Amino acid sequence: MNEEFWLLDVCSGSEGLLLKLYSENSKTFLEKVLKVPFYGYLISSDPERVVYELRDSRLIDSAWVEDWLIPPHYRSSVKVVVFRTYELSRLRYVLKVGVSKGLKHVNDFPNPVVEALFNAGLVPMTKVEVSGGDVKPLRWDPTYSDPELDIVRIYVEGGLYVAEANGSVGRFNNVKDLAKYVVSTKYDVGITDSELYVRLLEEEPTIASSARIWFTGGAFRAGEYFEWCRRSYIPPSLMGNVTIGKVITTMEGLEARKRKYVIDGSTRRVEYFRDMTNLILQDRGGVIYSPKPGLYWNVCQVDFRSLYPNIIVRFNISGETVDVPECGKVVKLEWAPHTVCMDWEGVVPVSIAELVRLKTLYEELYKSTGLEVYEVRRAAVKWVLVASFGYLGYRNSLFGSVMAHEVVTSTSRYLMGVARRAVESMGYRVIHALVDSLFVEGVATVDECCRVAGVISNTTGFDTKVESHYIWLYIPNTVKGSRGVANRYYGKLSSGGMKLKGITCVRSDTPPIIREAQMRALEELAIANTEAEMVEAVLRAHEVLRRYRRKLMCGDFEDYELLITKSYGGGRRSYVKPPKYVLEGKPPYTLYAGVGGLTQYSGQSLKNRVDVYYYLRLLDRVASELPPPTYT
Amino acid sequence: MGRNTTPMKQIINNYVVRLEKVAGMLSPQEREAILYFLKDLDETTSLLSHIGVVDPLEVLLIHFLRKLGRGYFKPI
Repeated sequence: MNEEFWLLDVCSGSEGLLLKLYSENSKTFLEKVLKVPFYGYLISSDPERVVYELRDSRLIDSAWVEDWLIPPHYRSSVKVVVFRTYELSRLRYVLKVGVSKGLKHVNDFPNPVVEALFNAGLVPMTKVEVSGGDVKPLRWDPTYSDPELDIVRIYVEGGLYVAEANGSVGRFNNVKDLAKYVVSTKYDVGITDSELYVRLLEEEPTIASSARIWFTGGAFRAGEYFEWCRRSYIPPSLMGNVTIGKVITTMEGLEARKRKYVIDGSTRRVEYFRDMTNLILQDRGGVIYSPKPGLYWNVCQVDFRSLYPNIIVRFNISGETVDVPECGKVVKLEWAPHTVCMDWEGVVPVSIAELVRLKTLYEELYKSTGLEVYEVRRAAVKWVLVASFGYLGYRNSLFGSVMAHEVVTSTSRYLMGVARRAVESMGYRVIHALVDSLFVEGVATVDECCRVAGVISNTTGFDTKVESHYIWLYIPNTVKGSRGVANRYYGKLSSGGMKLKGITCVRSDTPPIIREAQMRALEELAIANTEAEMVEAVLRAHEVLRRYRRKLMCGDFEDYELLITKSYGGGRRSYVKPPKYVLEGKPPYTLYAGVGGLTQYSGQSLKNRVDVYYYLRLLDRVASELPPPTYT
Repeated sequence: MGRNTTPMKQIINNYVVRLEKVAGMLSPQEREAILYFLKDLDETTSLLSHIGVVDPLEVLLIHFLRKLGRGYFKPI
């Protein structure tokens, strides 16, 4: 009898792949072994002899020679010995012996389990049909829902440990209580970051078995991990320490495998010799203005939709298509000192074209249905698209190059220039520009804003959207000085509510009391719809901050209101001397500002132990982010 | 990209600080002219971020030409 299951996870077993299946109807879990082939790839000066020896060894199922294209531009080919085995241990053994005999092991990425799943068409976190000993993949549609599972998501927020499970949220002061809470229930999926997972394991070793599957790459939402598994064929068991970059590289690797492109990590696309002028002019990021600080009225923010991925797809930008020496159809871009070859489609554009389509689809689905699952998937796809550009210039990128990276950034700068001129020709003024976003002053209504977006789209040929329309937008000064900061602004939206970017209250290391103070002050500003109302609102907002100042001075606060959550990327072994709290404590760092600086919070009362002036200085910073009390 | 250079905006800012110091030693009229010239320099820096800048003095020169073009400068 045929039955449908979710393919939850895959591990390598001694006799093939061990599939972990879940039936939503019967709420049962099932494990099934599936015999699938694994492939090994070796390069030798005498491939026929290697094939003969491999066949003779009887360690493998079969071996043969194939022509594969080699990097950097995949125009010339090489003979590759391909062998097949049904045991992962044998694959590894043969490759190890081959390398010890001087053969070159290529195509060592992606993981053989991922490649086996790809070849079998088995996508993790989609449905399969089981009939007897056979497992058949079922068609996956992006509109389908995710599996219904018991999920616990663990993270740190506002100095407290938070466990979110099945709609309920538990907050804990210490890891011990958190661990006790987590092990009290058996979950299907656990999500946290690696640092917190290690702390939990130290406290309670049985935590590993309190969830069937652990994702420890960060406290992302379950739907985001599921989407990454589906896009890259990486099963959750291999997702543990996988970065977003690895997800996109795996997708590119699988595309390369289809085309018989050799993946050789030792090959680099070497940058040609360049003079200093060329380097300074071209080796840059996107357009970032230094906006003039102040309050602006009727501001329209227009964003390009997935600008960088769309540039990559439109201009066929990939490491192997930029600056190709022998190319028939060359495109010379007037704004970039590089050429792009259009003779074939690049690996990067092909890999991300589907993601660009999916992002738009999820946006539309979320708009029409309001279901959170589509918003989560959109966020997941967006992360991968962001990484796809970043990885283009990463030195270890398999399908990137500095030149390809530069073509993307120079194209974006050119397009932003075209957009600016188009907006100015309509009689508006551009007050700020940030990579793929333009802020236009004097746009009274959302409809007018849509017209501006339409003109930008028509002029540049790239799709845009109205990101926000502000009744007013405030750009604060720098902490020291009177200049504006590119990524710090907030404003009142004409659709209701406020948008806050980069200011103190949105930072994760802001103590709750300071966050609350700024939010209350901004609530006062949010009342203002006219310049006259704003004058009053600014005075009220500063009065709110004065109230919090008095509260701090009088010691009228709870301990948790002062806690600061910090992460420290460098770790103890960083080449920069880590701060005291890193040397004395364990991540994630829950701190308070004591007389000796930032100190690990131990749960003891903070009365008479805190440096109130530290928090008062933070309030000063909050005040500097508001329009001055003298605003008229 | 792994290549570290001081951001162009920082270098330009250093020039501004120097110019402000020079302005402090000049007569009030000349000081006013220099401070007036430095006003809205960020706007020119932003504009040039589209095409890039090799020499930070280029920004000051273009800014000067923009102000001159707008007829802001009169003989002292």
